[in-house]
Amino acid sequence: MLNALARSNDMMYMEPKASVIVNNRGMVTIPKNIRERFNIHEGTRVVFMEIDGAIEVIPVRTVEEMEAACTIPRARMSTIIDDDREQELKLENDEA
Amino acid sequence: MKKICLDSGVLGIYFSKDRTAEVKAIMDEIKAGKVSAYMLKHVLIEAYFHICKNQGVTEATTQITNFQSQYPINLVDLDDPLILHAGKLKCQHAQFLSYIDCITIAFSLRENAELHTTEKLLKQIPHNTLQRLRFVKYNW
Repeated sequence: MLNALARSNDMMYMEPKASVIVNNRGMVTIPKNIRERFNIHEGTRVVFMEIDGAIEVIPVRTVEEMEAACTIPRARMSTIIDDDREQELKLENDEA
Repeated sequence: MKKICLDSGVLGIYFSKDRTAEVKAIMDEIKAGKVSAYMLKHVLIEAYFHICKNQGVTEATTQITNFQSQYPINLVDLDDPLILHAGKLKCQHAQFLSYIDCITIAFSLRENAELHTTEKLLKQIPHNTLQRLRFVKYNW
């Protein structure tokens, strides 16, 4: 039943991807598939942040890793910013 | 030390795959502590949105968090004089300048900081304001 609901509305019902147990020192093991997906390995620093009632774990990247993660072509980014600016000015000025 | 203020266009170039040499150079200077860099907190929200549109929420969260931890940029909050000056600019040039543009320009003028901006914003800045504003222009 829950799966059917999850399929019908991903935003409302999300299946848990992995479940781990916190040990007596407050430590958990980050599941392997998540470590691989986010390139988290021994020595990787992570940031814990509470965002909108959830705990988010964000891996800290080097400047080189940060640069490699930026995949939006400059021309595309320029279009995104143009469109955003146009929408923003329209919204702001329609409010007035 | 020289003060500079970054706008969202410059950040847009930084977060692009093929960032320009000019933007890379200024970011390296910031990282090395050779200039005193400022940016409105609001600009980070814009950057988050721009990344999110193409790369999704998870990547936007990761890139913005890492950006903040890697670069020593002073994040600027609103205060009363900024509100009043930015409000005045918005009243005068509502059709050209967004709220964030107005705050960025007001801050740069007050702090006598060089505004590092793309030609997209620069084209919109009214001539009389531009005369007092020190800026460095970056091309897309």
